[in-house]
Amino acid sequence: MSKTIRDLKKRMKAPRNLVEAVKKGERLEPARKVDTRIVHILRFGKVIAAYACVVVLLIGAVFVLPGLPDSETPQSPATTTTIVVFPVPDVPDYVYPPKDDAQNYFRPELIWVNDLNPGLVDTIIWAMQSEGEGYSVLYPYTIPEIGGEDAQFAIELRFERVSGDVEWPGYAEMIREMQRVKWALTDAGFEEIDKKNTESNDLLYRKYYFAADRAQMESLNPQTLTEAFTHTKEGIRTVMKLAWQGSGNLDERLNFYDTPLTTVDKIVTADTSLLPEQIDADEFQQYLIKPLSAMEDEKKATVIAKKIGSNSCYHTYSFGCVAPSVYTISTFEILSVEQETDFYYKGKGVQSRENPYQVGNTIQVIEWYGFAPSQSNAEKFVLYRSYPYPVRGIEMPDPAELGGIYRLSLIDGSALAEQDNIVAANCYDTAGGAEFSRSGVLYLAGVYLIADLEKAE
Amino acid sequence: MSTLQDDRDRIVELYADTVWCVALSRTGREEAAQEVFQEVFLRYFEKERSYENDEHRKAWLIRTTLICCRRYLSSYYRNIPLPLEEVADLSDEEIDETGALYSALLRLPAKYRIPIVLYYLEELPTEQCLQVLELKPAAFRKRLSRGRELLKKLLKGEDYFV
Repeated sequence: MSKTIRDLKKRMKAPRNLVEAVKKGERLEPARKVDTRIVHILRFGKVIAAYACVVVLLIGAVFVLPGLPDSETPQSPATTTTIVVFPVPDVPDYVYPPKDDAQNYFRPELIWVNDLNPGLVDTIIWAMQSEGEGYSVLYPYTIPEIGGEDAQFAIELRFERVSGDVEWPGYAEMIREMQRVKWALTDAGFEEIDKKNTESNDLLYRKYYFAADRAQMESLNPQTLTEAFTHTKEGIRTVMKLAWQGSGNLDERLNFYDTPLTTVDKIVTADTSLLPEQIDADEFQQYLIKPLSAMEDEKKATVIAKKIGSNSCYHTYSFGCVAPSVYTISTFEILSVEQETDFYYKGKGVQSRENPYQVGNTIQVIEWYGFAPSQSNAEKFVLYRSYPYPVRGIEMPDPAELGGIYRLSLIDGSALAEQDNIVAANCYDTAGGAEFSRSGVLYLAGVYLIADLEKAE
Repeated sequence: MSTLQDDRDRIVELYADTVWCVALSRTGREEAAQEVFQEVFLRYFEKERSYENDEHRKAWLIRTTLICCRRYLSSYYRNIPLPLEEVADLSDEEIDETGALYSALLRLPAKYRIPIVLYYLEELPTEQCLQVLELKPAAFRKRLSRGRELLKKLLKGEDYFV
């Protein structure tokens, strides 16, 4: 043992009077000089605050209240939210893009599921990335390379500016926001496992990696996690605002970050047996890489369905530019089946499940409103609505109206939706317009979904 | 012949420094450590428990100390952070090598401080550290290494970015 350690141990020896007192079973009076002071401050503070409240209330009652219009007190919606954590699936190689393209990892993500109503699923993916102009903020995903072998869940928190002036005005505040988010995650129980900071004239990033294994994730306190995500969300919003201010490009895009925040009531992990470990490569290529219109009819199901629920989410994905997107996961109840198909996902664990396209069943569909760099490819492909971003001069269309009757053409099996409405969304993207037709494949809880939608008469 | 009081004395003598060290490290304040210290031994003597061996007993005491600290610190008014100079209340002449280390140690975030105290000061085997801290080996190693790194920075007088 080194001398320093020995000395330190001496310094940290228990006081003799305390030891003797404990031996005798006595208890010393607490020496709370600091606490007492704080208690006094609090006590006086409370008295002053109470008087102040009375004065404010009186002023309010006399001058302000009579002038206010009648209004109903808004009630916050009661929500039940489940965080679903998906471990990294053993995804076939062809799902992974070339290794030298760092953009192209398959990224199972943090999922935010709202099962407020049966069949109503709200998924918020805390992902922000915008490579081109270089602002990346938070990217939660599960990658064993980051979290280590034990990690089932990892978050990469990163801010990145890869072009432009590094010393833009919001920089310092942005870093502080990041700190805040970081603390929130740590407080929630995530383990910080690594960090990377780089700063140069044209590149700046700070990355923090947090990880949790399945047991840790399940043991997190839902309330704490809710708070962490609240902080995270607020932090993201502030950071994005700062980023856009910094780039002189602030506009109404921020409105997309005003989606209501729900609370986390429970944390569960998904059934790994339902993950698509054995997707057939040919099927993947044939049915998921082609636009819907190019698919043979017998492979499509067409149903008439009523929209019974939806929730909007935001998901900023790069696709090569600063382009946050909003999407809605809507739930439709099938009223009739126009065209049947026997093609639906038959991955591992779900080989024997029934055809989901039956009257009375509910299915989930993603409506996507976001910038897609290659419209000709993107439109009517995987995401049945893909529009230029509103700030580019075209108004965002209304989402399918609740209660409306629609004709849906789709190839889908909402495998996990059949199990307590748990749905996960992962996006496999490649940055770059031409690749969007490949990149737009949305992967829903082990089920690939392709949908086209039109209003039925 | 060993009496109950003898046993009690022996246990207190044997583990007093450990409990104190952990309590002080976790709370960062002597008055807090004092309360926790008494609470832990009170609990220990309150109920007869069977321990497999001394290591098991020590692990129980450390775990209980950490729990008592957490409970103590969770109380609202006690949790108001003190200025650093009060946390490591050292006179000028005490700022020697050990004093600096002591001061730096108390300035570390608790999540790094406790593993360092248990492993280096209390010389608890890794297995037991993992047990009392309820950590996985990788996380424990990471905290140790991060703690050492921060300690170095603090000893060099640098600030650090947590």
